[in-house]
Amino acid sequence: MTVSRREFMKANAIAAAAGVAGVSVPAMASNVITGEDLTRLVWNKAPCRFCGVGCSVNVATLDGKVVATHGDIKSPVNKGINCVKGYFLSKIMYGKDRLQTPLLRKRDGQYHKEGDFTPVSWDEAFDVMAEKFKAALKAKGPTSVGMFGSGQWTAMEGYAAVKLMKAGFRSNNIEPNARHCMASAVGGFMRTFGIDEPMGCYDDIEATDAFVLWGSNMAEMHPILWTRVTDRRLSASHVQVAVLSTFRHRCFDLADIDIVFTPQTDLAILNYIANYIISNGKVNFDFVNKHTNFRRGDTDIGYGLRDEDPRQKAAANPNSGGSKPMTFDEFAKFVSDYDEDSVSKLSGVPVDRLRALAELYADPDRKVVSFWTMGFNQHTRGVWCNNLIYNIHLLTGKISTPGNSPFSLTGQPSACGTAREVGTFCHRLPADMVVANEKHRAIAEKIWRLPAGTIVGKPGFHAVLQNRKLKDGDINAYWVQCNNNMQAAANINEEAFPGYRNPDNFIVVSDPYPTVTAEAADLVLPTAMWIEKEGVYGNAERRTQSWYQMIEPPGESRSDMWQVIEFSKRFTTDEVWPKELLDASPDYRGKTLYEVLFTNGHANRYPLSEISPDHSNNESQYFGYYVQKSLFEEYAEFGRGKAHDLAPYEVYHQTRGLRWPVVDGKETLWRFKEGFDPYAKPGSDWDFYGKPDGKAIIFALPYEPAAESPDDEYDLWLSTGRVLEHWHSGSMTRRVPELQRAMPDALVYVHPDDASERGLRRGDAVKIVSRRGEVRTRIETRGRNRPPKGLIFMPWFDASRLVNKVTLDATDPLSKQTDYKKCAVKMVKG
Amino acid sequence: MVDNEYHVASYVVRTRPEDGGRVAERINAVPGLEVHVEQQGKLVVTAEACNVRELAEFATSLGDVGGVISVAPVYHEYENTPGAMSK
Repeated sequence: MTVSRREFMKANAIAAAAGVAGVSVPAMASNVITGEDLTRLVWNKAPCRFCGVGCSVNVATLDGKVVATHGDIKSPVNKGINCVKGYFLSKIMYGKDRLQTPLLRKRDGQYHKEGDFTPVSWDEAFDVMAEKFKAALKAKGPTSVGMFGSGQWTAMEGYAAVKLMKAGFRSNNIEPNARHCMASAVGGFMRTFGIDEPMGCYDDIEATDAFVLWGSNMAEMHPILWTRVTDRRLSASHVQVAVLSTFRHRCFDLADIDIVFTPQTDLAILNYIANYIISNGKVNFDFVNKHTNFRRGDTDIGYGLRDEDPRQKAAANPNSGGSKPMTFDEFAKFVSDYDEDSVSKLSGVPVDRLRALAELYADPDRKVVSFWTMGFNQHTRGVWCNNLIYNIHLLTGKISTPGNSPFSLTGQPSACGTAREVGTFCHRLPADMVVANEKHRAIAEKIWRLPAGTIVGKPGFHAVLQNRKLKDGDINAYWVQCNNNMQAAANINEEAFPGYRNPDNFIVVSDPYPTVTAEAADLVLPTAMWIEKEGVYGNAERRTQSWYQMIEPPGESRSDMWQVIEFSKRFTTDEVWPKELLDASPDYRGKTLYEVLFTNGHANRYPLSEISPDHSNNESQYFGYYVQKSLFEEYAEFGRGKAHDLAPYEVYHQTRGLRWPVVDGKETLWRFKEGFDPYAKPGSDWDFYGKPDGKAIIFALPYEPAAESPDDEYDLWLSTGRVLEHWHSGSMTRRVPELQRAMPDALVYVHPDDASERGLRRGDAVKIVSRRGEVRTRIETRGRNRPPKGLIFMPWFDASRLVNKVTLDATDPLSKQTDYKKCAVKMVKG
Repeated sequence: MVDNEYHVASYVVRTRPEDGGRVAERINAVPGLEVHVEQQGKLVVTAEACNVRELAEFATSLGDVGGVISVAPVYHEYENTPGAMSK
């Protein structure tokens, strides 16, 4: 390589960074960037493969391989910046152990549950898989099959999977891993507003006067948004940042108000703030009287454990989301119990900091953005937490206007787009509709061109219940796509692994890499990832973004979409639909599910000729029509005219995404506010149109203790979570050498006193032990996370140190989302 | 084999506006790191390395420089060419 080539690459790097920083480009870089070499690389845009922020990246390919990526300067989300994961995106496809062919457990040439993984053809893989699914359906009906998908599926992949499961197999047992991530947020939105997803958008960051982080380590988990928060804080001196967590983390570096509270007491702090607002006369009555109702929620609702668990039996109103109307005065009386002294004592937070926090919200002249992620959502009272933060914004009218924004951040790149908007949950259909509602089912059956009565009205098994049902032998054929749930689900020893290895069950895992989940499966299908296919993701601010296929997947890898659609060819309606349904609609007899679901003249209405002439599109070329556009446009029918409007598909290829509802070609930045949201009725000012009377609900909900708290034997709280360098379970990022080197092992972060009291020092090997299992790791007493005494933190990305062998599968009884932040453990030398 | 690679990466580093100059000096003192622009607490920094391990170490050390509030990686390109790092 010549010096000039090297200088050229360096100049490109400088120019890109200078452009992002908004500083003038040094002469050396600006001179070289127009060089001839630039034409060697082919650049395309794509949303990042990782978190829910939804950054756009430019991807350069050369000779069929990705050789460079950089933040997309045209993206309103990241404005040219990358985080360290996005920065190494180019390498996630090239791990040495990328799966190349289907692998089936075999002994003596036949499938055998205890056999060794053996390469097989797609035909053989699907033959065995279809046989197992048919056997299960025949023996026990639709509830005996299940699918576990992902907020990392493209929107159309999730949509295709929903069609196959809910319409084809007539089984509602389909769930996304977003159940572990966003279910409480969804529950909160539906309960308070009657419609899902944040009302505000990232533009709130530059418009606000204060940020409050509730259980969100944005500096590591949403680094690009954190950069925007940092810029706002440092460029406007009046802006304040409050950070609340159960341990100190990197966000505390920027905090003006830092608050470490005892786990679970966030509920009390939230009610204290409402009490402060009311007792200091800071309620915005004009807003409250016009736009809200008050309700008292049912309490003592249990912990989402198995019904026979004593904690579940002891609950007065297990799983109840019921509520009754109440007045403002009754609400004021309810929160008056949460005075500063008692809440300070319960939470361990000094009174002056509680006051400073409450004053941020109460001050009528200060705009406030609240951010939260897993600290609220992974909580046995997660829906309540979401309801209670909305209470505060509603009492003060600080909502749906620039800079006033209760903002639930998402974890996954398409948790919003695929899991929530498409509705890949066991109870949902697209556009916030639900299977339990007869009218909603009828709408879906009409759009899907299906006979009335095809979709079953009873919700399926949610994520945690799916693992329990596998263990119990009630689900016998199970397909996992696009996630690593053996590593991600809580209580692996008791509630995850037994179900996968249950001899009655056949487990299929589609993944690019041999994950822990793949290793526990019976059939592994090699999967095309990210820009090896065309797709759409939807981010946390309702922004829908698309990308083209840019490279070929390796070996025989095929996308999740191809797998779902191709598999549907192996079933006929006669095999999987009941006689009554076919008798009533004899035209459907003898047809394959492929014909009924994917080539019925509507679901395949856009021809192959419409695909991009400059890009491959393996699925469309294989099936003979424009698969992604056809499915997207069919899916979009659910939401258009119903406040979930999406733009025509091709618009997303031409833009850096648009925030729905997109009406008359215009995106919506702030929902529910007249003037910003075309769905807000004229004269309403604010219109919470998800509720029939246009009013949001302020809920009275109490503090209740955690499912499991430390005691004499298990004397520490364990919180688990993520790290900057790794994406969730690390199946992609641990194969990027730079990221793996930067964060090789999951350490346990411990207060120095907790270590020394146990005769332990930094770097010592320890065992973390709970009532359910144990995990070995090493102690870190310094570094980026600083827990208080009595709490330890361990990330879950490390497949060699599975912290979920220790965690408890307690869930929010309303959202069914697991609380990964609280269980009781002890720590011993090991 | 790894030494056949040439990696270049760029970062936008954020400091408090009054700290920019001092932080730039500290970064320039780290071999392999170079500050190209410093304006009101925004720094454009490159790292050059002959293998990924070295690059990762640079990225980590950048975050550890006193006064650095955030590090945003922007660009990364590499070439796998014999003698990449020799002039």
